[in-house]
Amino acid sequence: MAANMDQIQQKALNALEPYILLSKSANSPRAAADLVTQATSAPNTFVFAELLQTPNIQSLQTTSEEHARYLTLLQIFAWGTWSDYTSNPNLPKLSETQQTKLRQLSLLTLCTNPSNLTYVHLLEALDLPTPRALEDLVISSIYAGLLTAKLDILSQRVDVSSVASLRDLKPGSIPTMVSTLEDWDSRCVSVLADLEEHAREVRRKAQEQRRRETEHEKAVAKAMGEGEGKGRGNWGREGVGSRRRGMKWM
Amino acid sequence: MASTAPNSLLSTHKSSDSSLNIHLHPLILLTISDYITRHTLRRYQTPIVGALLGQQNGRDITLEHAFECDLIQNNDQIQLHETWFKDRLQQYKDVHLAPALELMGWFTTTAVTGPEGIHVPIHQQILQQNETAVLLAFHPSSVLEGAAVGGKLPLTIYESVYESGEAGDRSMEIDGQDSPLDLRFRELPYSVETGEAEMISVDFVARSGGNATAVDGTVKKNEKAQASQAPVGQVDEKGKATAKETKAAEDSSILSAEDEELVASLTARANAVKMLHIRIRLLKSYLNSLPLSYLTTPAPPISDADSTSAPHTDTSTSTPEINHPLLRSILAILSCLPLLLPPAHLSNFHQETLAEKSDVELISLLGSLGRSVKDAREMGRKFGVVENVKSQGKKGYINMGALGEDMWDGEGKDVGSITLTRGEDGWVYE
Repeated sequence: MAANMDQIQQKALNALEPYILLSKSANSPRAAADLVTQATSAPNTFVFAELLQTPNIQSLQTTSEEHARYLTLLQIFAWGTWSDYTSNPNLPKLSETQQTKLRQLSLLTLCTNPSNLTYVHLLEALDLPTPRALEDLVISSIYAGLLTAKLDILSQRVDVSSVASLRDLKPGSIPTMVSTLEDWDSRCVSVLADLEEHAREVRRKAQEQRRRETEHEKAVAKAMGEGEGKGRGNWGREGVGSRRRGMKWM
Repeated sequence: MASTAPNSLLSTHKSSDSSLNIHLHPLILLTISDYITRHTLRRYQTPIVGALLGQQNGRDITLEHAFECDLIQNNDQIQLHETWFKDRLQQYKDVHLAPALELMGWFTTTAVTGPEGIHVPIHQQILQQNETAVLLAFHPSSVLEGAAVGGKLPLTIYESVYESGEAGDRSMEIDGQDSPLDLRFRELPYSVETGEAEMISVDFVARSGGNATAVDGTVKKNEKAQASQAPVGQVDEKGKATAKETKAAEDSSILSAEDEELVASLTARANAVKMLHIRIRLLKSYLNSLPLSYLTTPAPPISDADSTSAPHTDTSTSTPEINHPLLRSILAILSCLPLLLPPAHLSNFHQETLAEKSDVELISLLGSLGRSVKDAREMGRKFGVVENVKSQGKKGYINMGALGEDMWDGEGKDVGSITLTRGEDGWVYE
């Protein structure tokens, strides 16, 4: 399966791997909470689903309130956004690097809805003070390979052209994905039907044309035959013939 | 490195980042498949081996040309014929001087598992010339199984690394000596790139395949022809298609040249959409077939309780193998969908399509206008001639003169009735 992963995911997973290995030995809730903090502050880690699945991290949920917050935090990093973080008052404080990382990841999620991509909306959703800070964030995401985008300063938008595969799936998101795929599927089917219709149209018209031409030729031949029969055909035929020669007699 | 375990030659290390970037040109694929076809048809028994030429700029390697190689058997080892190979390589280098091509690697056919022991001697030979030589392993078995239809090319590119021997060998280390370095192959990702000249030939191949499909369509009515409306116009069908063409000559001439091109391009687009459709269905069935447990991971306190299936009793204990990278990639693709046509630019898009459409309609209108003018002129000419015949016919004058351009004088006056009188020098129209 390794061959199927694209480079970006591979890099992120490689960066996450030491933390996954560490989590096997992190038996106490304290250690697990520390691990969460370390993993989310590391420079290249962007995906956390594998870490979330490890039993030691999962066990954080059942321990005390103090440490369960870290599990929530990790989940937010995996699939949540900045607004999720700010709306939940209990979560531990984030360092600068963690904040930037969370904002970058939220940007990735926000990109899925293009109407969200105006400066105004993004400033609000990401809690950034100035447009300059927003631009810096977008530029850093582009360099980190998270997305390819252009900053349209005139209309105050971010034009995103592609999004990297670096967010995990929310639980329960599979049905929505399936329905999106179904929409796409039905659009494909209708486009195919359209194209085939066009091709049929072209053929039909060509056949129609052909039919008319043959009929016309038949009529002409018939008229010529009649002309012959009436005896004036010699001139008629010659006339028809000399028309083609187009001689000039001046 | 015995060939009993066929993939013992594959590297056990995971591929690190910032490895070589390989750009594969389609010409190589055409060359290889052509060589294999000829080889098989002529029933040669020798192995299929050839060399790859390309350019290398630091970590970027492009593979642009390929040629087949002569082999000799050297007491149980298959190797390249050295002098022959040197000559041939020099010839190729002489030809391709402008972007100087060099020996970049070699290709051969292998099973899907990877290179085997017999490939190593040749690889060593190539390594002597270029230290970063790559091996392009073509998998004919994948082609036979039809996996090629899925869109993945039936080839893998390996680079070779020298790795220290495995743990078993270390026990034999003698102090002061390095552990023996083994040759291992590591798989490399590659991308397909093409230059302009290549595009022309690839386009030609693809389009002639498209025309074959178009001919198939018109021949549908012919009972003799077993027209199989294959979704992808294969080039090898062209032979069959031309045979059908001669059988059903009248049917195929229904479509004029422009119409055929139009139908061919429509067919090409339809094929592309069909391929997309197949992939989408594949993704959909994969997602649908996922076991239910992921849809309701242990209820997280903050995220939405959007789980549609019934809550599971066993939460974290039985998490089956979920392929996270795959799911993430799928999610990324779906998120990119709405980005294709941003709503801000929608009005511009509509305007531009409308403008183009009206341009096309305008031009076709001009074309039909020109055609009707020409037809009207012909008509007038014939009419004039016929009138002449009628008026003069009884006198037996056959020869008409001054037909053609004189009918219409500069101002485009209508030629209603023409009288033919005999003037000084000949017939004069008035």
